[in-house]
Amino acid sequence: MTRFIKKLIAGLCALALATAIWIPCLHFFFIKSVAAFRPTEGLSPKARQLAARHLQLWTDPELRQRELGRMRASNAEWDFMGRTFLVWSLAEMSVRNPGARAEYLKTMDRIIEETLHLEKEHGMYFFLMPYARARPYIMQPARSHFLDSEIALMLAVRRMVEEKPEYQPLLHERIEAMLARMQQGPVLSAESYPNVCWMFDNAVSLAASKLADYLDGSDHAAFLRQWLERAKQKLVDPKTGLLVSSFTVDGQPLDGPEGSSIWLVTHCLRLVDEDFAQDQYRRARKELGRSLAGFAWSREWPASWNGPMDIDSGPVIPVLEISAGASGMAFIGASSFGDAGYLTALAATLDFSAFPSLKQGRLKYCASNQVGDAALLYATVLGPLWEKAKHGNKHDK
Amino acid sequence: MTNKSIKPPSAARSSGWISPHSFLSVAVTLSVFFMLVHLVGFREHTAFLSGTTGAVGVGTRLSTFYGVIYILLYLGCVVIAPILVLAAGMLAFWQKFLSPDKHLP
Repeated sequence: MTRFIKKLIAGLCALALATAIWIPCLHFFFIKSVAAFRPTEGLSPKARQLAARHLQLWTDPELRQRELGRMRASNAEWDFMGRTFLVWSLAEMSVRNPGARAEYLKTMDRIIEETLHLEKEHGMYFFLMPYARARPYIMQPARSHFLDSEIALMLAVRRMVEEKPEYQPLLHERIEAMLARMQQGPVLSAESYPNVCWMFDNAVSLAASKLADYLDGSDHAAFLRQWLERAKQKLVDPKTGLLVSSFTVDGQPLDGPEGSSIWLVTHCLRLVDEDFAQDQYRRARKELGRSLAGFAWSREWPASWNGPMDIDSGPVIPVLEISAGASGMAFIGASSFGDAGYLTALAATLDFSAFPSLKQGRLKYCASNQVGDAALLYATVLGPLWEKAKHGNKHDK
Repeated sequence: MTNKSIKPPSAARSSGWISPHSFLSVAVTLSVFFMLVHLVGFREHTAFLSGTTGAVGVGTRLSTFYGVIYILLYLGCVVIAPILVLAAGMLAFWQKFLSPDKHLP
């Protein structure tokens, strides 16, 4: 054997050994305790830094326009969802950090009022993708469950923190309109787009109605039970046992289970049926949650479903099937169900691959956008309001 | 000189790459290039991963290109460079203490 061959083999062996040492160690530079992401009480530094960046967006109109313009160029829905995730987050933060409650409430009210104003002035299409106009809605008059459900939950969480009488009729009307439309279809679900019902939006509307029950002493328990029975019969993917992500008004599935949907759905279903929500979360972990060398992520589609890469999944990295959109939503599921191992590994992936940028105490992830960061913020703070709503109602106390 | 040490020019060039010095050189080069693109602000352009453009005034395609360059150099600096440094150390150790040719010039 020549010296060259010996040297080549030695070099390759050294590279292989170094790779075998370094790759399993890499996550140690990014992994932190679960409390560094979502503590049981109070706010984590990450939550404070992410919130500081979002609060800046709502106090600096030029910066906000720039950020919203970037997102609306891709998807008008993100403008809307960035608002809703932020309001849901600020409501949870008001419980976790009462000292800053006044500031949070002020920002929540500003977002809610501006969103309602935009909806009134430009109509629902302002926050929808162009295909909303492609054909008529089945249920008339046309309304999008996407807007109704998320606005209802914004109003409800705001009122959970502190009552605002002006919002009481707005929430009541929105809830009653949503539930009336849901009851028109055989699977008790309403359209977000023409003849497209999203599981995400229907789950959010169930959570909003549960919070409305807490706030106003109403009782939608019978409808929630009925919805759940119908969903178990008609809207479960037979291969995975997971709820499908979209379906027609008459209950024909359009897509299979989807990572960018199911994680938040499981979180919302905790208010309806904790056991079913736990079961859905466990299945989602098995079918979509993945980890390697201390890092974790989520697939957009289970292995048994061949779905496309779309605006919700974000770019999907082949082979490992890493979906940015699904992984962002997985934080919400892992945080809600207290899955510390998955959550810390997801957070390690985030800090490794989403390029955090911390300036003057304000954190953003460069690979993300405002809606992505707002969803992450929600994952760092969620919990107190759900616990409150699950244990009785305001009038009992 | 023995017959063993005679090798074709291409092999000689190739073997030059398999040395602790060249491994370290590549590691340092990757790190320096990464620092450069980091300092000029290419990190912002990784926003293409979420389907948004990175910065005002830069077209989507150019922003994506900057983002891809940043990600490749980041992975080079964080994943590849440490492996090269570790491998350089192992190779230097092997050459100094374990190689049968350690006494050869």
